[in-house]
Amino acid sequence: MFTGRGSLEPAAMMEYALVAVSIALLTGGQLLQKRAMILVGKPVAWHEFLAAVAAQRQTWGGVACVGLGSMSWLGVLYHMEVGKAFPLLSLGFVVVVVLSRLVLREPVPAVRLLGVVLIVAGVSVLGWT
Amino acid sequence: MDLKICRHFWVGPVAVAGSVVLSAGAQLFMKAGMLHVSSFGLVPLFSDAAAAMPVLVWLIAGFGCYGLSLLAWLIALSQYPLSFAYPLLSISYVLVYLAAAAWPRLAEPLSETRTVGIAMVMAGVVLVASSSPASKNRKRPATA
Repeated sequence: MFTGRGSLEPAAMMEYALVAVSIALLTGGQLLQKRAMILVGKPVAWHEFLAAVAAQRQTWGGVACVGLGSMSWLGVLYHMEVGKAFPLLSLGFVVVVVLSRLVLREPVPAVRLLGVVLIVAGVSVLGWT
Repeated sequence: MDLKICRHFWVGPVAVAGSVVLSAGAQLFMKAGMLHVSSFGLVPLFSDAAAAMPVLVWLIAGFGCYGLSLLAWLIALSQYPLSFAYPLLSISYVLVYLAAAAWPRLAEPLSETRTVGIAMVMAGVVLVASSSPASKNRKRPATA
Protein backbone atom coordinates (compact mmCIF):
# COMPACT_ATOMS: atom_id res chain seq x y z
CA MET A 1 0.00 0.00 0.00
CA PHE A 2 2.89 2.36 0.69
CA THR A 3 5.24 2.70 -2.19
CA GLY A 4 7.96 4.29 -0.14
CA ARG A 5 7.96 7.51 -2.13
CA GLY A 6 8.05 9.54 1.03
CA SER A 7 6.21 10.13 4.22
CA LEU A 8 4.48 13.29 3.09
CA GLU A 9 1.91 11.59 0.92
CA PRO A 10 -1.64 12.32 2.00
CA ALA A 11 -2.20 8.70 2.94
CA ALA A 12 0.86 8.65 5.17
CA MET A 13 -0.07 11.94 6.78
CA MET A 14 -3.55 10.65 7.46
CA GLU A 15 -1.96 7.68 9.17
CA TYR A 16 0.24 9.79 11.40
CA ALA A 17 -2.75 11.97 12.20
CA LEU A 18 -4.64 8.85 13.25
CA VAL A 19 -1.68 7.82 15.40
CA ALA A 20 -1.66 11.24 17.05
CA VAL A 21 -5.41 11.07 17.65
CA SER A 22 -5.10 7.58 19.11
CA ILE A 23 -2.32 8.56 21.49
CA ALA A 24 -4.17 11.72 22.50
CA LEU A 25 -7.33 9.74 23.28
CA LEU A 26 -5.52 6.94 25.10
CA THR A 27 -3.34 9.21 27.24
CA GLY A 28 -6.10 11.75 27.82
CA GLY A 29 -8.40 8.95 28.88
CA GLN A 30 -5.85 7.74 31.42
CA LEU A 31 -5.50 11.26 32.82
CA LEU A 32 -9.27 11.50 33.17
CA GLN A 33 -9.44 8.15 34.93
CA LYS A 34 -6.68 9.21 37.31
CA ARG A 35 -8.45 12.49 37.97
CA ALA A 36 -11.60 10.54 38.76
CA MET A 37 -9.76 8.34 41.25
CA ILE A 38 -8.18 11.38 42.88
CA LEU A 39 -11.67 12.75 43.40
CA VAL A 40 -12.90 9.43 44.76
CA GLY A 41 -10.22 9.47 47.43
CA LYS A 42 -9.95 6.36 49.54
CA PRO A 43 -13.30 5.33 50.93
CA VAL A 44 -13.16 2.34 53.16
CA ALA A 45 -15.79 -0.04 51.86
CA TRP A 46 -16.25 -1.76 48.51
CA HIS A 47 -19.76 -0.51 47.89
CA GLU A 48 -18.77 3.05 48.73
CA PHE A 49 -15.79 2.75 46.43
CA LEU A 50 -17.79 1.46 43.47
CA ALA A 51 -20.52 4.03 43.97
CA ALA A 52 -18.01 6.86 44.18
CA VAL A 53 -16.19 5.65 41.06
CA ALA A 54 -19.41 5.41 39.06
CA ALA A 55 -20.47 8.85 40.24
CA GLN A 56 -17.53 10.65 38.67
CA ARG A 57 -17.96 12.12 35.19
CA GLN A 58 -14.26 11.63 34.64
CA THR A 59 -14.56 7.89 35.07
CA TRP A 60 -16.95 7.58 32.15
CA GLY A 61 -15.13 10.22 30.10
CA GLY A 62 -11.83 8.46 30.68
CA VAL A 63 -13.22 5.03 29.79
CA ALA A 64 -14.85 6.47 26.67
CA CYS A 65 -11.61 8.11 25.56
CA VAL A 66 -9.61 4.93 26.10
CA GLY A 67 -12.26 2.97 24.21
CA LEU A 68 -12.26 5.37 21.27
CA GLY A 69 -8.49 5.53 21.32
CA SER A 70 -8.27 1.74 21.21
CA MET A 71 -10.59 1.60 18.25
CA SER A 72 -8.71 4.25 16.33
CA TRP A 73 -5.51 2.41 17.22
CA LEU A 74 -6.96 -0.71 15.59
CA GLY A 75 -7.43 1.47 12.53
CA VAL A 76 -3.77 2.40 12.66
CA LEU A 77 -2.69 -1.25 12.99
CA TYR A 78 -4.83 -2.19 10.02
CA HIS A 79 -2.78 -0.03 7.70
CA MET A 80 0.60 0.39 9.35
CA GLU A 81 3.21 -2.31 9.68
CA VAL A 82 3.81 -3.50 13.24
CA GLY A 83 7.44 -2.41 13.14
CA LYS A 84 6.39 1.22 12.88
CA ALA A 85 3.28 0.98 15.00
CA PHE A 86 4.81 -0.56 18.14
CA PRO A 87 7.36 2.18 18.88
CA LEU A 88 4.75 4.84 18.21
CA LEU A 89 2.41 3.27 20.73
CA SER A 90 5.18 3.04 23.29
CA LEU A 91 5.61 6.80 22.98
CA GLY A 92 2.31 6.89 24.82
CA PHE A 93 4.19 5.83 27.94
CA VAL A 94 6.39 8.92 27.67
CA VAL A 95 3.38 11.14 26.99
CA VAL A 96 1.58 9.82 30.07
CA VAL A 97 4.58 10.42 32.31
CA VAL A 98 5.08 13.95 30.96
CA LEU A 99 1.39 14.79 31.24
CA SER A 100 1.27 13.33 34.77
CA ARG A 101 4.08 15.67 35.69
CA LEU A 102 2.60 18.74 34.02
CA VAL A 103 -1.14 18.31 34.50
CA LEU A 104 -1.46 16.16 37.60
CA ARG A 105 1.70 17.62 39.14
CA GLU A 106 3.03 14.23 40.19
CA PRO A 107 6.64 14.12 41.28
CA VAL A 108 8.54 11.91 38.81
CA PRO A 109 11.84 10.50 40.08
CA ALA A 110 14.63 10.18 37.52
CA VAL A 111 14.63 6.39 37.94
CA ARG A 112 11.04 6.26 36.77
CA LEU A 113 11.80 8.27 33.64
CA LEU A 114 14.82 6.10 32.93
CA GLY A 115 12.66 3.01 33.28
CA VAL A 116 10.14 4.44 30.82
CA VAL A 117 12.90 5.16 28.30
CA LEU A 118 14.06 1.55 28.63
CA ILE A 119 10.52 0.29 28.11
CA VAL A 120 10.13 2.43 25.00
CA ALA A 121 13.44 1.12 23.67
CA GLY A 122 12.45 -2.47 24.43
CA VAL A 123 9.07 -2.11 22.72
CA SER A 124 10.80 -0.57 19.70
CA VAL A 125 13.12 -3.56 19.52
CA LEU A 126 10.07 -5.83 19.72
CA GLY A 127 8.58 -3.92 16.83
CA TRP A 128 11.63 -4.42 14.68
CA THR A 129 11.34 -8.20 14.76
CA MET B 1 -18.24 -8.20 54.60
CA ASP B 2 -16.74 -4.79 54.68
CA LEU B 3 -13.51 -4.86 52.70
CA LYS B 4 -11.41 -1.84 53.39
CA ILE B 5 -9.57 -1.48 50.14
CA CYS B 6 -7.22 1.19 51.30
CA ARG B 7 -6.00 -0.44 54.47
CA HIS B 8 -4.31 -3.53 53.03
CA PHE B 9 -0.78 -3.33 51.68
CA TRP B 10 -1.48 -5.87 48.94
CA VAL B 11 -4.32 -4.00 47.22
CA GLY B 12 -2.05 -1.92 44.98
CA PRO B 13 0.20 -4.69 43.67
CA VAL B 14 -2.70 -7.11 43.22
CA ALA B 15 -4.69 -4.46 41.35
CA VAL B 16 -1.84 -3.73 38.94
CA ALA B 17 -1.06 -7.42 38.42
CA GLY B 18 -4.74 -8.23 37.99
CA SER B 19 -5.26 -5.49 35.45
CA VAL B 20 -2.26 -6.63 33.40
CA VAL B 21 -3.10 -10.35 33.53
CA LEU B 22 -6.77 -9.77 32.75
CA SER B 23 -6.08 -7.49 29.81
CA ALA B 24 -3.53 -9.92 28.42
CA GLY B 25 -6.07 -12.70 28.89
CA ALA B 26 -8.69 -10.62 27.13
CA GLN B 27 -6.42 -10.15 24.14
CA LEU B 28 -5.65 -13.85 23.98
CA PHE B 29 -9.35 -14.76 24.19
CA MET B 30 -10.15 -12.32 21.40
CA LYS B 31 -7.35 -13.74 19.31
CA ALA B 32 -8.61 -17.27 19.90
CA GLY B 33 -12.03 -16.18 18.72
CA MET B 34 -10.57 -14.55 15.63
CA LEU B 35 -8.52 -17.66 14.90
CA HIS B 36 -11.70 -19.68 15.01
CA VAL B 37 -13.37 -17.31 12.61
CA SER B 38 -10.44 -17.33 10.23
CA SER B 39 -10.46 -21.13 10.21
CA PHE B 40 -14.11 -21.51 9.42
CA GLY B 41 -15.08 -18.15 8.00
CA LEU B 42 -17.81 -15.80 9.10
CA VAL B 43 -20.72 -17.29 7.16
CA PRO B 44 -21.22 -20.46 9.23
CA LEU B 45 -21.51 -18.33 12.34
CA PHE B 46 -24.82 -16.88 11.30
CA SER B 47 -26.46 -20.04 10.11
CA ASP B 48 -25.10 -22.64 12.49
CA ALA B 49 -25.44 -22.20 16.21
CA ALA B 50 -22.97 -24.97 16.93
CA ALA B 51 -20.33 -23.17 14.88
CA ALA B 52 -21.07 -19.81 16.48
CA MET B 53 -20.91 -21.06 20.05
CA PRO B 54 -17.14 -21.34 20.50
CA VAL B 55 -16.58 -17.90 18.99
CA LEU B 56 -19.23 -16.41 21.25
CA VAL B 57 -17.61 -18.05 24.26
CA TRP B 58 -14.22 -16.58 23.35
CA LEU B 59 -15.70 -13.13 22.74
CA ILE B 60 -17.72 -13.12 25.97
CA ALA B 61 -14.64 -14.27 27.89
CA GLY B 62 -12.62 -11.53 26.19
CA PHE B 63 -15.09 -8.76 26.97
CA GLY B 64 -15.53 -10.03 30.50
CA CYS B 65 -11.79 -9.92 31.05
CA TYR B 66 -11.63 -6.41 29.65
CA GLY B 67 -14.30 -5.25 32.07
CA LEU B 68 -12.63 -6.84 35.06
CA SER B 69 -9.25 -5.47 34.01
CA LEU B 70 -10.76 -1.98 33.84
CA LEU B 71 -12.08 -2.33 37.40
CA ALA B 72 -8.72 -3.58 38.59
CA TRP B 73 -7.04 -0.66 36.82
CA LEU B 74 -9.27 1.90 38.52
CA ILE B 75 -8.44 0.32 41.87
CA ALA B 76 -4.74 0.53 41.00
CA LEU B 77 -5.16 4.21 40.11
CA SER B 78 -6.69 4.80 43.52
CA GLN B 79 -3.49 3.52 45.09
CA TYR B 80 -0.69 4.86 42.87
CA PRO B 81 0.29 7.91 40.83
CA LEU B 82 -0.44 7.57 37.12
CA SER B 83 3.21 7.98 36.11
CA PHE B 84 4.03 5.02 38.35
CA ALA B 85 1.19 2.69 37.42
CA TYR B 86 0.86 3.26 33.69
CA PRO B 87 4.38 2.18 32.68
CA LEU B 88 3.80 -1.04 34.62
CA LEU B 89 1.14 -1.96 32.04
CA SER B 90 3.97 -2.74 29.66
CA ILE B 91 4.27 -6.01 31.59
CA SER B 92 1.49 -7.14 29.28
CA TYR B 93 4.00 -7.18 26.44
CA VAL B 94 6.04 -9.66 28.47
CA LEU B 95 2.98 -11.82 29.17
CA VAL B 96 2.02 -11.97 25.51
CA TYR B 97 5.63 -12.92 24.73
CA LEU B 98 5.49 -15.76 27.26
CA ALA B 99 2.13 -16.86 25.88
CA ALA B 100 3.83 -17.37 22.54
CA ALA B 101 5.85 -20.16 24.15
CA ALA B 102 2.78 -21.91 25.52
CA TRP B 103 0.27 -21.33 22.72
CA PRO B 104 2.24 -20.80 19.50
CA ARG B 105 -0.85 -20.30 17.38
CA LEU B 106 -1.98 -17.33 19.41
CA ALA B 107 1.12 -15.18 19.43
CA GLU B 108 4.19 -14.46 17.40
CA PRO B 109 7.05 -16.93 17.66
CA LEU B 110 10.07 -16.32 19.84
CA SER B 111 13.37 -15.03 18.51
CA GLU B 112 16.61 -13.63 19.89
CA THR B 113 15.63 -10.09 19.01
CA ARG B 114 12.29 -10.46 20.74
CA THR B 115 14.06 -11.82 23.81
CA VAL B 116 16.35 -8.79 23.90
CA GLY B 117 13.37 -6.48 23.56
CA ILE B 118 11.53 -8.27 26.36
CA ALA B 119 14.62 -8.07 28.58
CA MET B 120 14.77 -4.33 28.02
CA VAL B 121 11.07 -3.95 28.83
CA MET B 122 11.50 -6.00 32.00
CA ALA B 123 14.51 -3.94 33.08
CA GLY B 124 12.49 -0.78 32.49
CA VAL B 125 9.58 -2.16 34.50
CA VAL B 126 11.89 -3.01 37.39
CA LEU B 127 13.28 0.53 37.36
CA VAL B 128 9.80 2.06 37.34
CA ALA B 129 8.59 -0.26 40.08
CA SER B 130 11.59 0.71 42.19
CA SER B 131 10.74 4.40 41.87
CA SER B 132 8.50 4.12 44.87
CA PRO B 133 5.69 6.64 44.67
CA ALA B 134 6.83 9.52 46.81
CA SER B 135 3.28 10.66 47.24
CA LYS B 136 0.45 8.19 46.97
CA ASN B 137 -2.50 10.27 45.96
CA ARG B 138 -4.53 10.97 48.95
CA LYS B 139 -7.48 13.21 49.46
CA ARG B 140 -7.32 14.56 52.96
CA PRO B 141 -10.40 12.97 54.52
CA ALA B 142 -12.00 14.47 57.57
CA THR B 143 -11.23 11.28 59.44
CA ALA B 144 -8.10 9.36 58.54
